[in-house]
Amino acid sequence: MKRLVTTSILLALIAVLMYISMMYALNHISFRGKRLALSAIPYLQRTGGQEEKMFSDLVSYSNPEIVVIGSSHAYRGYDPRIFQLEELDMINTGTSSQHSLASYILTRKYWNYESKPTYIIDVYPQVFMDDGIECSTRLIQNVPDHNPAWSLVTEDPDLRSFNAYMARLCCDRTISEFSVEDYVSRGYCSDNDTLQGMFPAVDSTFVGQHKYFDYLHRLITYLESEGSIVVLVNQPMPINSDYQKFNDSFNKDLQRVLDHYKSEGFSHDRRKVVYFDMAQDVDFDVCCDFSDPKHLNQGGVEKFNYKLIGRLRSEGLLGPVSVDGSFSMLSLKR
Amino acid sequence: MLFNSVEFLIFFPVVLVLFYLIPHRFRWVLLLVSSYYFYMGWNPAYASLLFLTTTVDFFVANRMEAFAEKKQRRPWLLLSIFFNLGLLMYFKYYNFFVDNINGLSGSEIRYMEFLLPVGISFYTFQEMGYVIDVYRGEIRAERHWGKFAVFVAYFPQLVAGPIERAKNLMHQLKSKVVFSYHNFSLGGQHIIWGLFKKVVIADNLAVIVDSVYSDSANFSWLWLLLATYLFAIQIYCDFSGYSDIAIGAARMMGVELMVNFRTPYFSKSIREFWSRWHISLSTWFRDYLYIPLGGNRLTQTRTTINLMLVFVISGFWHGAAWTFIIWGALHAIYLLAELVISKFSWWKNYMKTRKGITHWLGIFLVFHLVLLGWIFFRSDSVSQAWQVLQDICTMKTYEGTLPIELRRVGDTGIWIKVLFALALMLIDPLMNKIVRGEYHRLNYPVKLTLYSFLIAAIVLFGFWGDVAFIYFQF
Repeated sequence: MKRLVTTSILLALIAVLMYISMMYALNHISFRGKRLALSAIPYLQRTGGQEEKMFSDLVSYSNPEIVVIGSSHAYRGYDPRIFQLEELDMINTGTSSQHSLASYILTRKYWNYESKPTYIIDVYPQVFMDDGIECSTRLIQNVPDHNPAWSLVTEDPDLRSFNAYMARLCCDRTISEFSVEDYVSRGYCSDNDTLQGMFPAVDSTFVGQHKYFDYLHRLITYLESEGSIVVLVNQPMPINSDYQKFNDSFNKDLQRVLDHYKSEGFSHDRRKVVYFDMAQDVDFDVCCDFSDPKHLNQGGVEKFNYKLIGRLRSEGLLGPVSVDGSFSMLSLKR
Repeated sequence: MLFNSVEFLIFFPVVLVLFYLIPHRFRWVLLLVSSYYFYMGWNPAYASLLFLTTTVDFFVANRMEAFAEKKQRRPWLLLSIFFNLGLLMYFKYYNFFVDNINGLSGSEIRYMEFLLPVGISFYTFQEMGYVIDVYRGEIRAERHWGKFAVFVAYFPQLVAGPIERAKNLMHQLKSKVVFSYHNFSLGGQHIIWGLFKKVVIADNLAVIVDSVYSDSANFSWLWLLLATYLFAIQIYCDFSGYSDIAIGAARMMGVELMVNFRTPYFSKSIREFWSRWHISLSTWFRDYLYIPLGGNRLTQTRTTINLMLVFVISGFWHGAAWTFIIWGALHAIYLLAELVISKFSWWKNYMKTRKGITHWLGIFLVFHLVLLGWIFFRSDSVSQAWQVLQDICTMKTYEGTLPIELRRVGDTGIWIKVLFALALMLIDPLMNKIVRGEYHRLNYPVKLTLYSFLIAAIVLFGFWGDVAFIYFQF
């Protein structure tokens, strides 16, 4: 037994040394202008891109009126310039495939403001299904501080995100390894392409991950307890019958989260949690309002944003409101 | 539960510790409970199927032993075979037959919507082997249901083999095992090597292979050829990796499972290939089907029929699709051709060579014959396999852009994966000797460094995610 314990300890120690040496070497040796780690280590993401631009743009931003949280649906779907024209100071904190666990960590660290802004959480069903590794590894490479990066590893332990964190420590993060050409400002990226009648490929049943609904619940509760209005938005999509069933199936799962805010009996000094399901909005044309089967193009964004601002205003969800604490679900269905 | 999962990383050490802590007489209970828990981690409902087949075969074997004459035992044997194959047919092949009947007759018989019970082909064959052995009088029927249930459900080899024989496994499961450093060391080496092959090689190659084969019409012949080569390495690493982990896990509990792979791609004939690839299945077919059918002791025509039958069934065992049947038939044709040429003296001389250009040319040729079979094995349909073959043979060019999965990996990433795969094939013969403790030139520090490197590589380069073993679907 003693021999087994000694061998195991030695094995572990040498393996750790080898791991660190290889990680360091792969992050410092470049091939064709790219650190070798990016080619050799699965799932590792480059530094730079939309995440880096967004953080450098927004980390020092103070007291916006509206904060948008979410995935690429967020950073490609909510244009701060349109909100500005409507005299609303908005920032867009969306990042690629951002799941609610990441949203929760980032919001607590970076996006909590004394101004108690209205938070728009873009809920894109697909993000609740994915294993979330793309989001985590991209953020681990690009968040400005080590703490939230480490939280992304520890909150959802996975060797892939651990490797990403170790790579973060080993590589030179001042170098931006890829640029994003369609970045506009305040986290927003625009896309002018037009989809030619393609629909998202989905199964008719939504099979989400429990942990992401759990973190969505925690995020809403946190924001709500800070005194902010929380608006969940499912933005317009190219809809066919498959996606309709898929979206309805997602809504059933989401409803379980929203039911908490119905049943917990909030006191009347608390504010609203509202859900706008606009995924099936008939005003959006599959042939001209989308850039691909998943995202709105600039024309679609303008239409969507004006419509959303109108709804936010008519529901009294911008600025101080007096509410009874009840949950309301407003759906714009076909 | 997958071997390459966090759950197994917790499950196995817990079982191992308990195994050595509890008295020998209670260990079968632990193994039975942990094996069912392991199986239920995938789909709890199908554990009832495992329980049912175990109980039926336990009962049948014990009934058979009550009779001295084979003639009297035969009805019980037939009952067991019909029951086991009936379940296998229903769960694995029902939709295949419906599909073909609907296609031929234009009828609209409904498909069954259920998941294939994982490992059903493996444990069905293991149980059938046991019942046949009892029928033949080669072994005594097990009198203890629990111990027999452990033999059927033994978790290291339950879902993807090796398909064990009662003669080898049953007495080991009953033997009193004491802690041994040697067993832990060899077991650990097998597990590390198996995991390396699975998560570092097979799963990384799967990204390229799956991308190409999922849209094979939109790739040039070079991509198709590369993907086919890589699939050959992927399936070997995936399956032999699983076997190595199974062998290692069992070894740590004092059980020696049979060797399932012996560097098959270094074979000089197809016959040799089948004595090195999935050995537990090929010997099963040899002992329980080919030899009872008469093997090659009868006329040339009967030998031909027997070989064809065995390999077509073997192909069908792998999956309910025509691609697998063609794959099996192709190997039967290879073997028949070999039977013909094996009568020539040059063939005998060729088989004796151990080095030189003829030796390596033979290995090269056999590998490519096997590769041809892998095209059918990997393709989703016969038409896709033909299309891939045609595109490779006509050197089809394609100028379109690569799919997102491959663009993400990038040129350098693809070359790194190819180099890893090639390196593995070169070191595989030596590594097999090392993990089996057959190579004694490595001293302790070198061995320690080697396995530390493998562990570091598993963590660093492993394609972690929910990637099941290919043979789970069989």
